[in-house]
Amino acid sequence: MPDRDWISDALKVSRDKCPGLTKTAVDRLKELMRDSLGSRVLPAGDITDLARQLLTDMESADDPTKAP
Amino acid sequence: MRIKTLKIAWFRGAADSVAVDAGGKSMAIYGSNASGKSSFTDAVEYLLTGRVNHLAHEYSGKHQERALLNTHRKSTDKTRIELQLADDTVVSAEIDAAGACIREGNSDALSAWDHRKTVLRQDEVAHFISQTKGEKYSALLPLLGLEPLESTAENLRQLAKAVAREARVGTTAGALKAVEQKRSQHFGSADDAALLARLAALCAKYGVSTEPTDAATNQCAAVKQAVKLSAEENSTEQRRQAALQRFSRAKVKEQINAVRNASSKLASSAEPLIRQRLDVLQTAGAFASQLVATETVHCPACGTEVAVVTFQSHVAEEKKRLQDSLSNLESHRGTVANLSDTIKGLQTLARADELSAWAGELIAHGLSDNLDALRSLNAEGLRAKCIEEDLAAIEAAILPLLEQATIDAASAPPTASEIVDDETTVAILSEVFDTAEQRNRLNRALTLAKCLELLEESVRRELRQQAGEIVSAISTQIQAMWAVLHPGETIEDVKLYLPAQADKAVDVGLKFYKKPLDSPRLTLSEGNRNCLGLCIFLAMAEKAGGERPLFLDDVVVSLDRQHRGMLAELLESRFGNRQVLLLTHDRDWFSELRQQLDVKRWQFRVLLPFDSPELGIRWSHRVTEFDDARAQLATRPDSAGNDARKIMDVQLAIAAEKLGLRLPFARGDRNDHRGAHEFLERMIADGKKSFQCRSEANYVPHATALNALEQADKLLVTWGNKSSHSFDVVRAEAEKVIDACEHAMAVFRCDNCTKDVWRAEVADKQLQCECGMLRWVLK
Repeated sequence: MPDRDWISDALKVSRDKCPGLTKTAVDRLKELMRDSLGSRVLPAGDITDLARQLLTDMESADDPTKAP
Repeated sequence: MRIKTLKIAWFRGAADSVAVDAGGKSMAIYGSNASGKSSFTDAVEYLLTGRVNHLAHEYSGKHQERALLNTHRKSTDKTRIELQLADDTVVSAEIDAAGACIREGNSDALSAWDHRKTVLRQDEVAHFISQTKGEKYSALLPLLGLEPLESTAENLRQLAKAVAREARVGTTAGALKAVEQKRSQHFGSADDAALLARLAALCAKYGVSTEPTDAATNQCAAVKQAVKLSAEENSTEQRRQAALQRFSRAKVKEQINAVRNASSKLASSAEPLIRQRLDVLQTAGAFASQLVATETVHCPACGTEVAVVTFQSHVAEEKKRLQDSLSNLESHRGTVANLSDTIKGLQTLARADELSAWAGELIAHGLSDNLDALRSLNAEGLRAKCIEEDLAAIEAAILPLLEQATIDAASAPPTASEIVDDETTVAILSEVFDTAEQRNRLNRALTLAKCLELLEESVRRELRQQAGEIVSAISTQIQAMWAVLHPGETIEDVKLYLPAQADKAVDVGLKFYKKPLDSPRLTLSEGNRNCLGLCIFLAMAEKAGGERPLFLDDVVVSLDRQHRGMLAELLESRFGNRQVLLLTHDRDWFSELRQQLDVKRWQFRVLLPFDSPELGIRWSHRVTEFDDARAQLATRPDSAGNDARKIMDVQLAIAAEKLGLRLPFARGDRNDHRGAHEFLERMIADGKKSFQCRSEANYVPHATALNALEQADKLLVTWGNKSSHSFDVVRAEAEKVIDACEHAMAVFRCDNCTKDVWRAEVADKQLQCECGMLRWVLK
């Protein structure tokens, strides 16, 4: 695998194009992409749980992230 | 980790325990057809994967027990596989009659042994070449180490869909659209500030005291309550008039029309969609089969051959059409819900005390049945099912009542009418402000779904980039290997590549007589395709690195002598540090391997022809092929003698090449297919001067060797030829031929250092064994 941090790059692009994202959701996505999403194709139940968590993250009180 | 020993018992062709004692060395194993070679390959595959892929079919049993176990195994016999590694780690599997497997030992020791990078069989060599681009991609994905990226992309795709589903994006959007319609009908293009001003005016009118910080929804609730109290303070007649106003203002007719329009839209979009989807399904079958056979892409929507870009746009159009249909469906649901709510409101009003007298007046107008019909309507049931008959019944029952209520309400004093106006206004304002949070939630879900889609795109881009880098690196290795196997040939620049504008695809390209071609299947012969498949496997194995052994099971079947010979060179040059287990039924190649490969790193073993399941797989006691010939002495002495002659043809050809013998040119095929007698004749003639052995400090002609060669030649010309042509050789004669041939071939190997006389070349003057006891003087 290359040394460059392509996951951070990908998240930055997404944050630039979706300014309403909350920091909590971005942090969770970063963690997921570095870990569980790549481990295997997840069953539907796990995907639904993750979707609910992310929707809750989007309701968190933190300000929408700004692209650095 | 190298293999020390692989033992199998009552597994496939094995009976009592039979072992490959590799001792960590590479091995070349020769065995005629059905001698049981592949049982060892099967055993390794079973240990690695718990099954043997080529045995998977309807007759092999649920756990392949009918294929894995020796057919003549007794109930007391145990089917077992045991693999001992160089560090003495042991991994074993015992399989019972039902195919249940008990594993023992440290299975983790094999965790890094990817079966697809470890074992290559004859029937799998060209399999990769003949696969579609998508299948090649799927096959390569784990080998390239990019499965995590592919999983990430797929999970992100599913996650985006789950977010939309969980947030009820479609339903919420439909509800918001309905509220927007009410707002525009009632307030026109007034903005939020104007609506807040209207609300403030109502607050003032009904004496509702509010703070600027109060939420609009709370203000609406307070105004609603105030309007209600105000209405209750009115006289009975005023309340009756107000109720009639409310009744008469119900937009039943408009709402029924809206439902009809939505139904019509839904039907007009659904019917062609259903027809088209059916067409797609019909052509999809043909599409799938064509992919395997031709790799030509046909669009399943229109059935014509299209570019990938066009195909993608077809898919996008399909997606949009489906989304439009979903939107129509949501709109239909919204209009039905509005109608249902209105009917429920009318039913409530019809039961209200204020209208009890009006209900009595309806009898005089002949509308009492209509009132009964209104009361008995199942308004909630409409949400689940609302067909034209329902709409007609609603029209017939309610519209006359509304007309009568409009007539009767016409005489209502301004106060009653104003109260009803304000009620309507505040109800719509309340809905508008209530949906603000819903709208925020919807926007958050849409933002998240969009982000997930963008992330998936990023992962796919990364996947393509990394796959491109790895594929490029592997292509360099494939080219290098192809060049070794095909020196100076006109097929070049063999490579894997990612086809442009095609996701999840890998293909093989090459230059054929300088002309670039997209697929080797267009031009390459079967032999070349197999050779290419072999290069791809070896390149992947080399790229993966590690100390995992390689099993090559009869992979040179379709290669000619020259290319087989180059494979040995390839293995020596690029896999010298790996343990390789070569299994072959090609005796000529096995003979060549024995000459070409370094005996310090290679062992050579021969399997006896298969006799019976009870005897199972058996090793020949000696490693020479002459044992194979001897195995036939009892039943077919002529075949035994003929085999000895064929072995001599091959081995003497190799020896002649090593010794640099110059044979007179012969015409046509004869030049390439010389027989043992021709080689022996020249060897004996040249050997009188050239073949020498050391006697104390001097070299003398190797008389014993020459004598052995002459004896073999004599017997081959007589009994050997009889074996081949007249088939009337008796066992004793064939036995003598075999012994003489074996003895003759042994003279080239030094008894002292065990190396062949052509082991080393000294100053272009002579060849000699390692210790110098034997030498061949070059002319």
